[in-house]
Amino acid sequence: MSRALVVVAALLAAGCHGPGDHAKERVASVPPATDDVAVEPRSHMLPAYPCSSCHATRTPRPERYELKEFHQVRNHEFSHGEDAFWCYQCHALKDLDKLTTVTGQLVSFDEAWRICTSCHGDKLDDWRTGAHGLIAGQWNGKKIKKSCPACHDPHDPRYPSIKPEPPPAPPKALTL
Amino acid sequence: MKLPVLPGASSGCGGGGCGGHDHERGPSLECAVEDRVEKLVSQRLEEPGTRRDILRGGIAAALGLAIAPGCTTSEIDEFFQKHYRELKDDEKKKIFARLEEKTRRRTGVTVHITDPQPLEGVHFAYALNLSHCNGNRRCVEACARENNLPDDPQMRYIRVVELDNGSQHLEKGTTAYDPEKVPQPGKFYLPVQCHQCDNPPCVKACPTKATWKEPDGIVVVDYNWCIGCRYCQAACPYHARRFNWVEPEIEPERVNPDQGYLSNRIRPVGVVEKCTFCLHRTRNGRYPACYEACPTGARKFGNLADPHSEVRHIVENKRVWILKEELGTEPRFFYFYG
Amino acid sequence: MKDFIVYVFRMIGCVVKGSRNYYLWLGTLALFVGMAGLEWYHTLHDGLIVTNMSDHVSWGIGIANFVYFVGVAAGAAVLVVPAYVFHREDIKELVLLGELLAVVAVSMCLLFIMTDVGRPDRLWHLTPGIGFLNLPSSLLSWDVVVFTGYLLMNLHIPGYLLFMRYRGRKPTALMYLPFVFLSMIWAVSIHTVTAFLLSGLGSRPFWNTPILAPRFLISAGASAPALLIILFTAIRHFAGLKVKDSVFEYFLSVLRVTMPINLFLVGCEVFQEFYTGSLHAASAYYLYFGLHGHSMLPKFIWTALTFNIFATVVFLVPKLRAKKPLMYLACGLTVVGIWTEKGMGLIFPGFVPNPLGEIVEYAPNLGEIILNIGIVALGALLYTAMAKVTIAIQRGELRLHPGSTPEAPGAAEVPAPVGSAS
Repeated sequence: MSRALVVVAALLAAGCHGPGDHAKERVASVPPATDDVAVEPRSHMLPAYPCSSCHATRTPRPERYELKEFHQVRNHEFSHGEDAFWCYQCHALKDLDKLTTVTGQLVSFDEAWRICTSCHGDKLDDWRTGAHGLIAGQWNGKKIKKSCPACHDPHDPRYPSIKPEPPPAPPKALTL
Repeated sequence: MKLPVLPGASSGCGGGGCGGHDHERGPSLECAVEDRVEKLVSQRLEEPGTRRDILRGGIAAALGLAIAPGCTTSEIDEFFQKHYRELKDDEKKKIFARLEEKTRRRTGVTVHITDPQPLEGVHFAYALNLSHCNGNRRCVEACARENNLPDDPQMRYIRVVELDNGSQHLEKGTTAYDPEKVPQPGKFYLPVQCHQCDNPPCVKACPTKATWKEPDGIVVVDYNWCIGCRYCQAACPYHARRFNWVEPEIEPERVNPDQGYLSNRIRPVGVVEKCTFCLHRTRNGRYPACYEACPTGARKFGNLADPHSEVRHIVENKRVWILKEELGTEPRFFYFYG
Repeated sequence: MKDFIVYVFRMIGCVVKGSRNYYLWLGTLALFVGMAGLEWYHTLHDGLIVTNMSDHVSWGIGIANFVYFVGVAAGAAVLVVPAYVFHREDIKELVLLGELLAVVAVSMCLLFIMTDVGRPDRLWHLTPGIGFLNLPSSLLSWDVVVFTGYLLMNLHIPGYLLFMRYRGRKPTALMYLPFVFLSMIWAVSIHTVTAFLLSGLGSRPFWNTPILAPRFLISAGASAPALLIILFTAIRHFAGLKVKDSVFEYFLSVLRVTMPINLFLVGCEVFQEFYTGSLHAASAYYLYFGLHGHSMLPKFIWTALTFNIFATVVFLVPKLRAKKPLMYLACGLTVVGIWTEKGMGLIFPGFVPNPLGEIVEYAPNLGEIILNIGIVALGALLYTAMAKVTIAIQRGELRLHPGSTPEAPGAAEVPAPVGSAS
């Protein structure tokens, strides 16, 4: 048994240098978010923000239920996390102008990406380094990066299919 | 892939050689890029000599005297115009003014032609995330608007190939897809445009050196030097080059007035053109038009030599691959599944 | 060089004088040339959009003809080698006519290119010194170099020899013999460079094969003798020039070798493409069988193959080639078959499918056909004129000092036709 462990350890040590083998080095090589890359704030874009403008006068219902009544923001099916999620998974019960992590930390709507990437950790690395997502600005200067909800509606995150632009014009017909 | 990389390798190389890395693991990315660029720079046109100028001046004078009565001064100037690489700054100014005037007469639009130079230490590259491209072709149309591409007959630099999941061979795909919504199930989308190769078959093929590779990696065409033989079109493995079969007509309201001499100025009939990574934008720090138009973030662009750029990170860490790699063209265009 | 100027005028005089048939022939050719001229003007005015070419098939019938006639030009070596290496007297009388065919073929090739480029007004960009010639990378630049060399060589040799003959002077061997031997090698090079400019392209798997240059040379060695048989029969008949039967026997002996080898090489290509069955064979499938419903070319290539096989059989079987009509038919079929195989059967499928897998077909339209026929007609016109002058000088009809006996090795005495003064 111990010999098998030694063999396995040796194989692992001699194994291929794939990126996954250097997890620690990769994390170190991911550059920290620099001043040149700002995340686009979203609060001012949200309809009916701040939420407390209505919810200050309403008593929150902490038990789980399905939202059937009027709500300014929602107009389509909720489809995220199947039956595991509901509103207060992400929305902070104690302060509806903020979002919450699973540990109860309050997060601004401008930093919603912290909530998303707390589950979608694989995307965090890609998003921080710019491999995933939309970045505008200057390739050699100030950049502005879009936060997750800019493309992925947290209530139905699947990227929508869209109508494509027309295909290339057919080649001109052969004349005689 | 020709660029095996070390995670976190960012020690620069000494100019001209790569001595500072572990040879067993292969050269670092900077070394490969430096080597490639040096090779290309040494293949640039020789410095222009005065003998060429005198010869040409003499012939120009003789022919000019012979044909002058029938032609305007600008037509004669255009006929005898030197290769871009030989032009001095004052000559360029005159040429740009002449071209701007021509455009104004044809379209009524006042345009501004610039000539941004390549930035020091910059090696452009493009990375394309095939997991995110859904074939919406917004890039194709944005490119057409930015680069003053005509609609009739239609010219588009970018073509998007729709392929079945499970195949990467282009002959099994189609560019003519036109469904209601994209992406279609079971398909993926591969946009192709000029890859600005480091070993470009088109540059090898051109008989008059009208197309060449600039130090920042962009392969450009001098539209006033090209003789229109279309050998480069035959040589390109990516179907990236376009020919002006007719004098291009752009509607005045669609003319983009911010023009570059080597990129998106309105070209004459009978010459070849192609994607130039929007050098009139990118050499000024802006992103290319296709990049900005992409709604899914599939397109990534930047300076491969910058260790903090997105493209550098992608090339070093993602499973990038090269289209038709076996042909040895060494493109600056990397596809990956992110 | 007053003599030379008078010589030029006398040559022009010789060209414009002739029988009624001669004028009819020149007139018909001039008509086709005129139509081609109009068509080219149309192209210059509107751009190459008047052709059926597109970004997908960017080279068409113009380049196909260029490739074929380079073979004809290289085929002049078929006359030069036996005349100067094997000292065959029967061929030595005709070698100048062969070299003039090379001149005409190269001129036609240059015209095919000139009428096919987008900016003919910029062709001076190819001149080294005032423009740029991309040597050593670009095969098209090499083509410019070898074509210019071959044209000059083949203008110089007959030009010098005929001018010496005209003046009744013995030509100096050093002034022409080195060029003659150089032209034998150069003939190979012009066709090899043309093959290389296609076979060097990795983007076109149909052309990217080492067998392309050998195929070109062998098919030139097949189409040139067949064309020369027809040509010299016409010259024998219309100009009264005595061409010995042994010359035709010689051409047939060349055809007996090159035609079967040509078929073998085609077979080699076909095997490699279809046996491997890789996706790179798509162009071959398009040519022989059609691809995804696009099947314009198969009928042409199969017809061409049939012609070539039939002609090969005729050339190889003594009883068949002895029958003159059959022999001439075989020559005609050879010319057509090899033109189809080398021109349309090579250039058009190279672009189908395009590098992105798209299929766009091409066939020349009427304008392109008129232009191309006109260029061939111009070649025929030039050749007729030059051959007339050559034969006149060789017969002694055109002399600086009429009546003097010519002494010129390399151009034996040619008996004058009955009735003409010598």
